[in-house]
Amino acid sequence: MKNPKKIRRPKSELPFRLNLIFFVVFALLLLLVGQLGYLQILYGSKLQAVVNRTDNTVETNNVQRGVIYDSTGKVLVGNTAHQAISYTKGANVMAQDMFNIANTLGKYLEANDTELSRTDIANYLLADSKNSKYYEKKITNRENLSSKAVQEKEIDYIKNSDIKLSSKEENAARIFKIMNGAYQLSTVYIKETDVSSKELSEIGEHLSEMPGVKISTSWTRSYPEGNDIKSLAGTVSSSKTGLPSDEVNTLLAEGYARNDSVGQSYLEKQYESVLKGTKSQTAIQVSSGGQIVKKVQQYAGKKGDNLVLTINSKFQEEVQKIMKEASKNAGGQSTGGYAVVMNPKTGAVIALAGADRNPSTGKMTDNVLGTINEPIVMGSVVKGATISGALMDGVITPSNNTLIDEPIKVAGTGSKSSWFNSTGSANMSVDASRALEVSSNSYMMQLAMKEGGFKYSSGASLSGMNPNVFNKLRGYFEQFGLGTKTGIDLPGESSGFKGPTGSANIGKALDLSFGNYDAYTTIQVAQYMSTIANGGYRVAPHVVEQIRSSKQNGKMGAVQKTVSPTVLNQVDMTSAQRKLVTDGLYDVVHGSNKYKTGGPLAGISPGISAKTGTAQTTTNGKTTVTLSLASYAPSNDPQVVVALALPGLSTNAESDNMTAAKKIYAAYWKYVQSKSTLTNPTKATSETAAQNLNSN
Amino acid sequence: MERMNSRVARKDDSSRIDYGIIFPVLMLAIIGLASIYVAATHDTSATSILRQVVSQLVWYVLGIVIVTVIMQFDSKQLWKLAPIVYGIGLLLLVLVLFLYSRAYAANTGAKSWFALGPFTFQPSEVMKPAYILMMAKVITVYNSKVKERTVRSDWKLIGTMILWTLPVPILLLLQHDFGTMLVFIAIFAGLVVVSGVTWRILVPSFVGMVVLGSSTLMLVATSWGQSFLSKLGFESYQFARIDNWLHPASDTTNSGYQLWQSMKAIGSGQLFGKGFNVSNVNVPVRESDMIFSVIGENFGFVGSVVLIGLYFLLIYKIIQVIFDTKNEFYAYIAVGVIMMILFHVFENIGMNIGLLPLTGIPLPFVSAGGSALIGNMIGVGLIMSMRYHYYSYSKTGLEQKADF
Repeated sequence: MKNPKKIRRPKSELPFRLNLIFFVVFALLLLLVGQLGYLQILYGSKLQAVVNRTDNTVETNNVQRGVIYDSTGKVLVGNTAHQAISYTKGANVMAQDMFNIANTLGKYLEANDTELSRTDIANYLLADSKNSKYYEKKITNRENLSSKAVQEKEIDYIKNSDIKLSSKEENAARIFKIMNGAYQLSTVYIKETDVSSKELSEIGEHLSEMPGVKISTSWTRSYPEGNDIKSLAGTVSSSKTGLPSDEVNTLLAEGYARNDSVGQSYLEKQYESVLKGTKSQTAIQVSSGGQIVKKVQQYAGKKGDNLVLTINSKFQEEVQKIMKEASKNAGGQSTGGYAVVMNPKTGAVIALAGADRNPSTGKMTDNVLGTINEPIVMGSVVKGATISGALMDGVITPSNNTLIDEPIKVAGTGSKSSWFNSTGSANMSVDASRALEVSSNSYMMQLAMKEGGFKYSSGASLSGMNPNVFNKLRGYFEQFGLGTKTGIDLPGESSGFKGPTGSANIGKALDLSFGNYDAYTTIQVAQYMSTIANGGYRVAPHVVEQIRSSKQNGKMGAVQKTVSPTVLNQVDMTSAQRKLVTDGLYDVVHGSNKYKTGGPLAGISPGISAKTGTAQTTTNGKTTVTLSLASYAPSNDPQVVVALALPGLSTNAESDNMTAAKKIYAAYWKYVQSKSTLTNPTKATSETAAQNLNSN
Repeated sequence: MERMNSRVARKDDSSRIDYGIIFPVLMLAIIGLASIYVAATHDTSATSILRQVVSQLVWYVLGIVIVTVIMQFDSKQLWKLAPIVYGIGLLLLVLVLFLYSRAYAANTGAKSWFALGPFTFQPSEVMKPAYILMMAKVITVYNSKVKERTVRSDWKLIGTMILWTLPVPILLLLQHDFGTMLVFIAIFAGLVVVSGVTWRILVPSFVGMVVLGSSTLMLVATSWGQSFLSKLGFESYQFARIDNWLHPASDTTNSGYQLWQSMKAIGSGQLFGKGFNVSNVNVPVRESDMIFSVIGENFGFVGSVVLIGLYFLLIYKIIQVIFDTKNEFYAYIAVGVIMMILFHVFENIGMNIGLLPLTGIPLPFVSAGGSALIGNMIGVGLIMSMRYHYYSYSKTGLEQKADF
């Protein structure tokens, strides 16, 4: 060997190396098969689940909200369509794409003038890769930072700089901000209202340059009969304000999107599930570029169902005006006026009127729902329930119910008496009906003492009276609806206000008996009078008569549901017992006693039965009265109940309640029911109603 | 041996055509056309579905013409042609640096495409067979000169090979075409192995490369390593690709999106696939480099293994040709073609399933794209010509001396 490094190899070296290459081929291809098996067999079902989650996406679109009609078919709450510009964010849309779209759209559309924070400006600028590269150079030490950290530093840099955008850029940045805030495959309105026709046509021509941008329709609530109805109908959240913050988590769990409209108060809230409708569902196919290529509508969506109210809007407007004027004209310390007009047999509320008055400024504010959420000490108006309770308790009977009206003197308190007999000079014997006619406080107090198992003698201490009397009195009141929730189909109903009880307050039981202690809402008074008028059925008031679907043309469609009267309880009285009370209420207006309290109502035709009330109150440190009234008409066949309250009147305002009632009845017979229906004695409606009551 | 018998048995002209090569290529072509149809059906593109499929078909027809032409060249003619085509290839690679398609470069970042009207052409694709021819000649010449092999002479051979190779990766780096450069390195490595270089060089070299490769990976995967590499001139998108490869599901919004979509598509194909023309996952630009995602999604594990099996069959048939023809020059050409196909298949499928980082490497005979197909068809043509002319020699008794 000349060279020790010489290599001797057999001639067969090449075939061996070819086989080696072949083996490497085999090994590498086997490696691919191995990884494929891992990915497709071991991991396949997991990845399939991921695919199902992200790529088969369903886009939902809002539908028109249901309309609210009054009982005569007038639209109270409707929808106004607006041409709007919306943006649907595709899957995996890059910031750069949105930056470009925002700039293009900004050329044609003037965005709403919203606040732009420094962060918004930074987000906008950095969405552009050119800008991003430019600002990246400003970051020192960027080589040692992750790309995320660099990005954060870039945002900080712009935030702390005095970089100003041109007005064009600002406009685009506002658009970008909205687009950037959208979730993948969700739609946001870039401009919801007030898009000019020039903007519309220009955007329409350039839509193809702006993937995801659409001209669409947005809806806002409209009130063709005036905004007053808002205080009954309530409001809906707009897509701008988003879901109400206190309920946002609950609503998101129910499938709402953050920019959905949702009923925020009153009817809109109570009937949200009916009014909202069902969103349309569209299956989306996303292209490789993250743009939407194919849309297959899976469900066309269903416009919200409509509400038909029991409210007669014309009459409602009148009653609202009457109560407003009553409170306004009373002036002084008047804090408002509230009235409920309802059908005693069905519980249908025909008018629900309320207005608050600020005694110091005199400013009037519509507050229809004050009728269900403002408890008021009503005064003698409750006496029908006191007498009914005593009859049920057995302390008086239809054959034995005469007592002497005299001032009541008990130890420790001043004398309490009827309004006409404060000194005892007008002592007279009264039966139950007479006690109602003249509004005898003394009679009521004596009934309370009897129910409390206390034998009255002048000057005796009430300490012997059983404190359970509060429960007894209130129990009877509640059978009529006083001091308990009436079950009206509106949120936020108050059950009233109950004063403290027990031995220490035992004297207050006497005040309770004639309505000068606990506070009741106006709707409770209406329910109480309805219960008397309809023969002892406590019917839940309701403002929604029907739920009806929408036809294609947007008109009212088929009836989905008709609200039937709900009887909450039945008052267990004999007809003889009831007659004592109804006779008394009739005599309040039509009686012959010189002390009858409702004489001024006698002129109302057809004739009514009523009970007035006066409660001594203190408003802003001044002695005032609350004048109230509960009534039904016609006396012989009650079709309508009117209850009203005017708190905070001056002590000499003797008949404001009756003046208002007269006007309300006049309006009722003019706008709601024709008197001619009464002369025809078929009484179809009342019979049907009575059957309804019995079937419940 | 069996092949001795067959050589005697098959003497007619038709037996000179290697159907063992044609069959897998034909099958791959059919799979490719079907996959392009699926991709085109589900993606938005300005060009119609029909046009995309038909234009690929036209490239195939052109490829078949080229195969037929190349088959006419015997080994002597190929021997003479080698330096010429190598020179033309280099010239094209230089030209493309000045005449590259601006629009394409803006889209892909690589200055490696000519564009003439609607036609685009990537010269590096045809450079691959030209390079293979040239290297085969260089090795054969060197081995015939050196009768006594020493470690020194082996180093000299490697040095010569590197000298002939070097212009190519340099030009490709200038084009920003890192992926294609890797193909040449793979061909180079395969040829070094078969050129007869001693194990004393090969083993330490491969161990060294493994160490270098894994330490590079470590550099890329750590932030201090990245800042070190960026000082050496690597670009951030290259790190991003490695990052995405290591953590496919971590950032699916930007650069990792394509890989993650591809993995979801293939994985959700599961064992038997979703069936032909079903696509629930949209993989960006899948008609070219990501075409395997269509096959994986539609035909599942079974279909994918069949595809890989076709490549295996093709390579097996090529190796069979080497053994049958017993021609050293042919052997080097064939190994070059094998390495070219192998690297494409391994890298392409590997990157589709998250085994390897993303690079712009198409799947041979399947991916849409004319130049890559022509490059591969030239390779097929070279192999076909070997069998064709080997029998013509055997007929005329002018059998080449095989240095086996």
